[in-house]
Amino acid sequence: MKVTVRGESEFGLPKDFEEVELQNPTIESIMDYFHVDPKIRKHLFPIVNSRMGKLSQELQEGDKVILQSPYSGG
Amino acid sequence: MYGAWGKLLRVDLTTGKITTEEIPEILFKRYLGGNTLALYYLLREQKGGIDPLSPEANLIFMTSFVTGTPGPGLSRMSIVGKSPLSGGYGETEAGGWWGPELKFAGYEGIILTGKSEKPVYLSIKDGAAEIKSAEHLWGEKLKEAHDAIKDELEDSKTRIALIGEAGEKMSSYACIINELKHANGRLGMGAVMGSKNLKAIAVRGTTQKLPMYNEERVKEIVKDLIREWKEIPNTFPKYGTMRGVRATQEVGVFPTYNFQHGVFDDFENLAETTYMETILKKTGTCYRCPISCKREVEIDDGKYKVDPAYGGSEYETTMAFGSCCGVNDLKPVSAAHQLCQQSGMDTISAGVTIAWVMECFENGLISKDQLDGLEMNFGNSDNMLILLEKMCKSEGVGAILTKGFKTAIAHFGEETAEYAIQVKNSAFPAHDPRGKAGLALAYALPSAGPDHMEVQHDHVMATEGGAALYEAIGINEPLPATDLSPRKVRNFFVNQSLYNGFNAIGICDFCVRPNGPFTISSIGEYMQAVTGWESASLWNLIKIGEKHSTMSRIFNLREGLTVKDDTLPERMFTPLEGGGPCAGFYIDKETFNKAIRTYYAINLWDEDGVPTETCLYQNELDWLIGEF
Ligand code: SF4
Repeated sequence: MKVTVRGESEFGLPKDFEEVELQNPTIESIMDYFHVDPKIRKHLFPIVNSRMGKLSQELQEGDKVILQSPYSGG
Repeated sequence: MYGAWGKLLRVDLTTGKITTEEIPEILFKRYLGGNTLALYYLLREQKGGIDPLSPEANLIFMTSFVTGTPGPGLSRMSIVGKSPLSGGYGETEAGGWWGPELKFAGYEGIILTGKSEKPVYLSIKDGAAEIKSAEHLWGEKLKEAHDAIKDELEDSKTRIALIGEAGEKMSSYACIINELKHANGRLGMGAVMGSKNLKAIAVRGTTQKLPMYNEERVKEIVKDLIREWKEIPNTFPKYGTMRGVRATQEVGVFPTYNFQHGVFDDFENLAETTYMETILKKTGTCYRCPISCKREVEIDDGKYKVDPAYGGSEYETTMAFGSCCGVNDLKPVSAAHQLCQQSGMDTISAGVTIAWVMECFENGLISKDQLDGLEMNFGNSDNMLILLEKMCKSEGVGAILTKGFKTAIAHFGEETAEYAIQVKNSAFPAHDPRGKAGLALAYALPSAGPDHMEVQHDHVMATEGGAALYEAIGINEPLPATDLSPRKVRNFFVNQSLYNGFNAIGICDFCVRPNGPFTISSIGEYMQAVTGWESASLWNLIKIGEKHSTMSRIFNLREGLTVKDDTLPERMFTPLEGGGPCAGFYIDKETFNKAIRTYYAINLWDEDGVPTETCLYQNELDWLIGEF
């Protein structure tokens, strides 16, 4: 299944949308694929197809995923 | 006593009398310092109902026992008084260098009263204070006045907090700015200072060292915290607050066109990458901060000239003069930031006020003639800057706009009120609460008006890792960003108490995880190593934070604010327009009203938000029984 992914390059994620092919992709398997540092994983907030998502979310063919460390403050 | 000298400077600007008095250690234990200790003095010494711009008004600067000690981000000082903008409690914090320098000069705080006959500034050096003439500085831009004072005092290491033209002309959202870059913004404390004919406070201490109970332990804590912090990937030092543009856009809460939309099509033009590639000169920092989130911008392209001495626009300002006004270029945003810094005006208030003018103009509610001939469509950055300059100088229509929404609505007509995105007459900061429900409470409830630094934000708390950072204060699970259940209200209450506590000790929120080195548990440990007090703990920080909410509530009740002021503009109860993850989201009024009542009950306030006697006993505030 193909999904596209973007995130903060400092965490190992592609800065611009990149297509990846994974079997039964989940947010977790995307993080495995990009070797996201375990220390930061639980801090990332997923946005799937322009909707707020969940880390446990299973993904569908063609899904667009943004993984971001949420921003707070001024 | 350790960490603090226990000294308060009192200056009566009417008589010129300067005295020093002791701050008993028990007061630090009861109120810690910063916002809460300042509020203690304010409630004790200032009667309700006074004009905030009269000589009777007090203006209080306060630090704490950890200010200026070696921990990261312990640089913030609070300025407290009655706000000319809201008519209620005025509180504002800023980092930089001024707070630690006041400590090195021998004081924790200053209480200013009265009014000088002529413009003056206050110079404090190594325990001695002196009032000096500022007649030659009145009307000067910030940098000119700042540099002249440094020259006059013949000490380049002097740190200066000062007002500009906005403060001199008593704009309701004038700020006080230290070192040209660090603003005590929002609630018009600059106007209170201007009303006293006080241009600046210059501080210098050559001691640079504070007595600590266990200095070795303090150093050890700091070393460990910084080492551990560096091991965790973190983009905050690299991008600073400008990271907020992309992050809030992605979750759909980036206020656009006066909070009509939550995403801005041209956001990439305002984002951190464009900022770094086009206008950033270098990064800056505050006293002993390893993060260096401050920015210095330089532009010299003929039309726009921006001096890095004033720092650079950050996230909030970029929203206010960028997406909120429909402006898609960092250069006019930076020019607007500089105009505000030069005259000492709050950028959020000014930008969101202009966005309101733009929406009213586009809807035919304010005409070109009423705007001194300016067409004020969204995106018109040239006219945005012209109008802003008028506001900074209090000229023409600018003089009305700088008195706050209430005055402007009375001038332009009641039908403009629905477009004013404000609570307690103070403009919304740069996050749309329709996608961050906890912020609906952070905008509606605080006595000092809507505040984006009131609590940790919903999207952080919606992640497992984010919520886990707050386990030590009993937050045990992540909750969805748009949840407004009683559980969310309870978490808001605990988190707000913690953040109030941050302002009592003067720690920068960004220096705490997830962005900075401090964990919340280590703050208590650090306080104890500095003071040696058994009572110094995280629990203590939270309890003082709770106490602060009740004290500031009492201040507002005394000034006539009521439950009716704990609300949101009608727009927040209607669906967010445009695209993005939060399109169509709104705050349910019934749920919101229930949340407000739940919050009152958790605080031990009655249905009308009035603290009960039980609450006052519980918070050691029985001295306030019968005072409101
Ligand atoms: S994180 Fe930024 S605002 Fe906070 S102390 Fe450091 S430089 Fe100053």
